[in-house]
Amino acid sequence: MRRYSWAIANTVALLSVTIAGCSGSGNTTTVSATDGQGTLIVVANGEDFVRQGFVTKDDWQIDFERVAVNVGNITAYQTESAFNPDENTEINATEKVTILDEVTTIDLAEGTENAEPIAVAEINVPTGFYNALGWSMIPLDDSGLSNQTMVLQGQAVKGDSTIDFKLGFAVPVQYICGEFVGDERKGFVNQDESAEVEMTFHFDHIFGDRDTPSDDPLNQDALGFQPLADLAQSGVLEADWQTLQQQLSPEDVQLLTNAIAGLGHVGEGHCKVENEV
Amino acid sequence: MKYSRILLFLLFSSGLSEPVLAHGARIDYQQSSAIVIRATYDDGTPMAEAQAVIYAPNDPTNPWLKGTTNESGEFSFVPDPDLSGNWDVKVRQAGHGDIVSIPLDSGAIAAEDSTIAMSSKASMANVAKSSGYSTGQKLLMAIAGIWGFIGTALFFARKPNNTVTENTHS
Repeated sequence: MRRYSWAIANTVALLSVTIAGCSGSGNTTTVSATDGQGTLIVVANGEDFVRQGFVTKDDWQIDFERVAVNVGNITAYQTESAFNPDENTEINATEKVTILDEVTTIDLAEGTENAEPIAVAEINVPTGFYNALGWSMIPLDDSGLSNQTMVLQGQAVKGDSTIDFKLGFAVPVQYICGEFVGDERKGFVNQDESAEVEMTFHFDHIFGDRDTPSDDPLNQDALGFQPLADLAQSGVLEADWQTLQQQLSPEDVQLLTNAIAGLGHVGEGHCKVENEV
Repeated sequence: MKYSRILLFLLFSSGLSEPVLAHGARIDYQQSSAIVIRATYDDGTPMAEAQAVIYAPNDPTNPWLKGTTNESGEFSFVPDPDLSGNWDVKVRQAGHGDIVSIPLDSGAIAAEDSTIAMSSKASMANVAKSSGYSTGQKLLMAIAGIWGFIGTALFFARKPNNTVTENTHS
């Protein structure tokens, strides 16, 4: 009997070491900067608000046909620790890459309601973790947006009222952002592999969201759609930024300007706004 | 706008008590230091019941620990002192989130991080298990391994007549 006890004890001891060794291995995937290269892809995401439509804080159902945005000056950075746009005035980058130094027009409403984020540009970069991102919204006359930074086109419905709208905004903004915040981390470039960084646009900041409490700062700071609906004639609203500045109240213009500037995010992480580009 | 932010607190256990022995029971303890983060919105409202995710320096792409903040927006964890570098903490709630790096060098928080404050009474209710091995665990594994090899060697080196005797009595 003693023989079997010895055997069992020894087997358990060896097994425990084996199991512990196995469970402790295979969970280290450190990404560090090397001389190697990979691909960094920058994507733009209008989220479900743009792709699937939503109900504003003042109960207008919004569906977009086109959400055109001029973006440029896209730069990605590696920093030793997470960049906090609230507390850090400058990015102390160990690596800085310009992904797009031109201005390009993207349509965030492109594709089906379940479409992937829009690929904007990609570039070969040194490997490492790109945990900060900067980009700009820029007005360009020859971009097809008639010197606007953004054009929203679609339909708004509330009760028996339907408004076909085409709105132009010309609010140049430069964003400085930290790391993408979402379900997964983004920006880890390994050798000969690709990784993404994301420019995220939160359109609920402009129109508010019925699913969010009315006293939430999101809705308190949003314009909603009703002030714009009041400018429509015969179910049509077509206005560029100059027209909106003339026809909206000064308070609503300020609210809208601030909301447009607050569009830019990195997933759920917010960005520091540098006003004029 | 509604923004989230994460504050950090460093919690030290006192480590002054001695092991307690009574009626054969035994309680061992290990002195450790914990990091307590407090997540708030920019207006000071705690991010209560928010998702908290910890990433260790040796594996920044896979969570080392997941949990939920308490009603005060606090979440505590004890980092593996063997893993020096940036411990990244992510807190998310209702479309808002933030990430902060906590530099840890040889088991101590780097002194230059100005956002760290000291606290002596943070809740540890939400601390979950660590996936790393402590020094004690590693020592125990080593002893078990050595004992296994010695025992196996003795088993095969046993005398045959001992086997007959044991079988007779069983």
